[in-house]
Amino acid sequence: MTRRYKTYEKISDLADTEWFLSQDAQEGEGARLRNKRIAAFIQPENTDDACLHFWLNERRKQAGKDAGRILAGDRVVSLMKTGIVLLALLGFLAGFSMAAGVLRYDGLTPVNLFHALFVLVGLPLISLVLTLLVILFRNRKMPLAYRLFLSGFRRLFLRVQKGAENRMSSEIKDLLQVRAKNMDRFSGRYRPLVFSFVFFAFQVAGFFLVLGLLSGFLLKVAASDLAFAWQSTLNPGAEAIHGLMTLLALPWSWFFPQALPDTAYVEGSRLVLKEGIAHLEARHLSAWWSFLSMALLVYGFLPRLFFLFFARWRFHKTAMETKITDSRIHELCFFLRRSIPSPKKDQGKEKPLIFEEKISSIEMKQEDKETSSTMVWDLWISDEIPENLHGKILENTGTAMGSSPRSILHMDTENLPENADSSCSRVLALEVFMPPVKEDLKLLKGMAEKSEAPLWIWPVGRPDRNGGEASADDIRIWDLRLQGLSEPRPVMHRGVRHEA
Amino acid sequence: MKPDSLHLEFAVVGHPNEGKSSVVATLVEDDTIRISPWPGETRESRAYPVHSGDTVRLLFTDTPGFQSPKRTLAWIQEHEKNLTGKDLAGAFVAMHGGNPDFEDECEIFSALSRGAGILYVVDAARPVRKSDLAEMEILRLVGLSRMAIINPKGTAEALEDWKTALRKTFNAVHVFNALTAGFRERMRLLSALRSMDPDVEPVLHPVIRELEQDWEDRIARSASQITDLLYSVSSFSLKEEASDAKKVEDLSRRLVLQWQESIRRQEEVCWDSLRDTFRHRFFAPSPDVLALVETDLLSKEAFHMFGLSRVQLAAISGGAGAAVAAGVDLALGGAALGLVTAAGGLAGATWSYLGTRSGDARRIAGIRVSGFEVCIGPVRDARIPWMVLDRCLLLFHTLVTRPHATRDEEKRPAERSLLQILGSEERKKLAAFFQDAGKNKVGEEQRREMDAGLASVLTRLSSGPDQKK
Ligand SMILES: Nc1nc2c(ncn2[C@@H]2O[C@H](COP(=O)(O)OP(=O)(O)O)[C@@H](O)[C@H]2O)c(=O)[nH]1
Ligand SMILES: [Mg+2]
Repeated sequence: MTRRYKTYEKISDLADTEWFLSQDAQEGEGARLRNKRIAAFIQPENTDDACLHFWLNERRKQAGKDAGRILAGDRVVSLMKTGIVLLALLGFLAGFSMAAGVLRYDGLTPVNLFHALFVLVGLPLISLVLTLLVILFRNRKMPLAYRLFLSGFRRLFLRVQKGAENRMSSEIKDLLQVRAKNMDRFSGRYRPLVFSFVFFAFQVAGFFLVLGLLSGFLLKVAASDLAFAWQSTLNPGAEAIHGLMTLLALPWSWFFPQALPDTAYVEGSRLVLKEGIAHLEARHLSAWWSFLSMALLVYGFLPRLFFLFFARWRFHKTAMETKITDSRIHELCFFLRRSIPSPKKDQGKEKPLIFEEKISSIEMKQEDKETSSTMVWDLWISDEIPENLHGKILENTGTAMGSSPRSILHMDTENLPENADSSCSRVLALEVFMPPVKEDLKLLKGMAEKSEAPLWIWPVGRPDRNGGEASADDIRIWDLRLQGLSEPRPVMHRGVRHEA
Repeated sequence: MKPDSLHLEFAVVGHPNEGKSSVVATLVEDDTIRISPWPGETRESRAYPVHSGDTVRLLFTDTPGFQSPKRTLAWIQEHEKNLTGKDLAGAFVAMHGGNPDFEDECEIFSALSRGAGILYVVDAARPVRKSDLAEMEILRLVGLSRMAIINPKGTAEALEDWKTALRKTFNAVHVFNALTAGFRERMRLLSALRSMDPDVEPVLHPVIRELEQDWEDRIARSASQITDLLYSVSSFSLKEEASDAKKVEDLSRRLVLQWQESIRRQEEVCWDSLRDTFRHRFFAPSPDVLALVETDLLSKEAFHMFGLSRVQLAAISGGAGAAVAAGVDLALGGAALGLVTAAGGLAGATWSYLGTRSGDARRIAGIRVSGFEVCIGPVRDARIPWMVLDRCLLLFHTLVTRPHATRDEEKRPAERSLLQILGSEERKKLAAFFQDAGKNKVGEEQRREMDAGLASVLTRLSSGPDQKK
């Protein structure tokens, strides 16, 4: 049986992954070497997820060993746990002190029954209603006034932004766009998780509030002499109050009728301040505690318990659903897999690949199916690339991907291939000597969205220069523009650099 | 296009980064237009005027590039049956305004909806692609008068392919390199605009005339500014009396500095006005040029670069032969400096060089002491006005031949003195002018002759550096 993946474990994984990824992005060359060393220990038959997991653990070991520092994930998790414990404590103390505060009897004025009801039943009910509202309206539209305010604010912001952008050079503008997109992506990924965590934390606090109320109440009942009486300026009949109480007691009346006050009780505990309590019977005055404790249990404790479990489940579910599947992960996975030493290296490598012949037959069978470490991928060639470059592209992409493509497709950029196999990564050879226009980017984004597996862009230069090799400047322009798209997006293939 | 409208508007359109802004910058002589190797530098359409004197004659509108040519074409194909020309463009803007996908197209079409003529810019150094065909088709269907401008960035290998493709849509195709075009090429392009539309011809014809006249005026103005400078450099003198004998030495040193400083300032004023005349606002020397001041000053090469040999100089300066013999080293200095100052603003360095050899500086300046009175100038060394002239010509040449689309620093200027383009008659006249100026006896007639002579030199310079009379 596989061990259950714990919520906090998952969160710690997420935090560590983000941390290490951003670290790698800053370090560049050093990070590549390190990852290459890690990849050397990965078993070739592993899946992408397993590779990543292995990588994460290795990085953790190293980070812990090298710096002796606490890992980002551990830090985040301990912060979350501390928060929850603090909130629970706070809730309990608040509940306890409220219960203790309202249940005070000095022998002359009994506890006002309505006050006690409000604190012990009303407060938990109100908080329940709030919780329900949050759940129900979280994804609903905001009220109109709020939306208007927000859109006004937004418009102002956009105008300021536009003004600032017009003064920027286009390169800076693109760089900022990439940064903004990264932030968007980050917040988009973790917003549900943060929400469900905050929701869970508040449920914990609510639960402990009720627990505090309950224990304060029971402690007072057990360890002090309490008397409850009701009073009202409107002076309703005992019947009316009794009816109300019966209604309240409906949920438990059928299995615990003792906790339901009868008319005599009600009548016997009516307090008229002018007359004092001397004539009231102590039996009637104290009898209310069982009713109150049942009310607290049923209206406060049980729903809170339910919501606590619900929030916990939701938190767990959201944490499990949060996944980092962006182009950074694609690139990392690709790099790791590409760096895994193949067990049949000598066999696979030496085989001469005769490309020219295969180009004519569109469907190309992969020769050695048994080598599981090689990636399965399709090569798409934009139909604007002249024929004489195709051989070279096939050769170069083949070297970069570590295997020859499963199939080759000549793609008309206007008519996208519909039957895209979603599990297979694609390499799209594209001319990059003209700058990307919005239309192209939109199209490529659409293609990337169609499948889970990454869409790599293989840059091709002018047919008449350097044998079709793209210039570094053009690649940079395209790369930055692609990075400015939201996920899932096409990724610029850094092919040759992997070979270094 | 209304033929009687005050000015004609042409919208420069095309794919991003093909050099649209560069073409506009060169055409309208505006070096403030944003040009960048990174695509997307132009975000909004903007009309730039072509002036003759102070009046606006033509408008060239710089636009962002097409961002969604294929989708735009689809829309146009759908709507071109009911609408054409300006109305079609206007309808497009009305329909797509605010749509971020068509932001840039709206900028383009808003210029077209004013009825602007279309100048489609392509970079012929790259092959023709589908998006180009879509763009051309859009422009054809819009149906406004149109012309294609080939602006080859690098060697145009696919030029014939381009011409074939463009001729299907445009009745006129013109090659115009924004980074090398001078005044002649600009005028040739403007003349070519006449073939776009029969209505344009009657308006454009006088405008071109006027612009040519304006160009001549600018050259004449420059010539007279240079004459002024030469005159004041040749005739400038200072005189002051010291309070006692001990102060005489101090005073004469101070006067030499003052004299140098004021000549430097006069030169700068002249250069600034030359820069203004040719509308170069951001023209600055490169570090490469600056380095010349320190290294090449007294080198052998500098000697060879100096156009006038000793004999020549002796010949043209007439009676000043003695002065020539006095210091060949100065002539060397002058040559290198002439080279350096093409970048402008370097006069300080020049004179500080002269200043370091105080003996030279004094001799050049022609300092005289009689009793307590110190008198300096007019300049005694005949080579000084020639140096000043050399520098002015170099600056003028650089300004005139530098297209306004250039955003690089100025390259090393020509390694030869521009005095070489002077004919012997001109040299004689100049020498006489310098001498007469030093004696303060230049008449109106001589002055006017000088202006005309310099103007013809400048005209020759502006149409190419190597045209000796
Ligand atoms: N070599 C060369 N470069 C050019 C020429 N015209 C423009 N460029 C360069 O091409 C780039 C884009 O020019 P720009 O005018 O901003 O293009 P736009 O986007 O169409 O306005 C700039 O780096 C220019 O310097 C040309 O005729 N020759
Ligand atoms: Mg531009």
